[in-house]
Amino acid sequence: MLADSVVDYGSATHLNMPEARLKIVLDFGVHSKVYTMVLAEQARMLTIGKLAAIAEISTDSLRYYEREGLVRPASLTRAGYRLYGEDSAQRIQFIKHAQACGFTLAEIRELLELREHTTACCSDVRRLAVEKKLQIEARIKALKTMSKALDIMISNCAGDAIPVGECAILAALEEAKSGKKP
Amino acid sequence: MIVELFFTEGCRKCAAARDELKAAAERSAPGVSWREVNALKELDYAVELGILTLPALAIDKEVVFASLPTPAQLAKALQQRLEHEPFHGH
Repeated sequence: MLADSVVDYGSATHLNMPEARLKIVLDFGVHSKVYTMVLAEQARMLTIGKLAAIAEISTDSLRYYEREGLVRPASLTRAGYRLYGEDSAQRIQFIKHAQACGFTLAEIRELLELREHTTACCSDVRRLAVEKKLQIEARIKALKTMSKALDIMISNCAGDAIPVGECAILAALEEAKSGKKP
Repeated sequence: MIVELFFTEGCRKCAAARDELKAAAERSAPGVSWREVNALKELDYAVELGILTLPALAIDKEVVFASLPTPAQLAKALQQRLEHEPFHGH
């Protein structure tokens, strides 16, 4: 094909590929023809497998993030395969870091929305971080209480060969179940 | 009676609502003690009271509002407490 003239006709949204560009290619040869081509940007897009490999997560996790509204493909191929923008890998790193800090997916969605919200400011994000710290500290406090309760039960148990029916730990748990203090 | 407003630095909502809430508290429960608590600086205390979201408001060390109430809601909560605890603070 001799491409003598190329005219850019913008996004190929009708092909469900808004990130791609539709080009009209004119061939001024003897048997002149007009070609339409979808070019360029799509080549830079990532398939689900490639994105999963870059972000070091499974494709199942990626689909889960998508169902939770955290990530979405920029477009689909004509065959219906997902195509993701290059910024998606960075977005997934953000999600992974936030998860490592204890944020739930719903909270991460809120953080992502704040990130994209032009009127939001850092104090909004800070508030969420302080709330998360409060929740983690509350959980630590509860775990310490559990640990102390276990310490008492363990110290009350001789740990020797007495029958299980006389086990102080089981007895303490029975008492706790019936509402008595261990 | 003590009313404590737990907040984080830079909380615009808190700054906007603080004066009205404080005035409502003083109107509803004369002699009420009003305290503003930076949750990060007094983290252990906030955790002890069970503060999980911010801003929040506690009355007599009990979390009554997990988000900012309106002045009317705060006034109502204080009045109810006064009715149930007529000798509170004496």
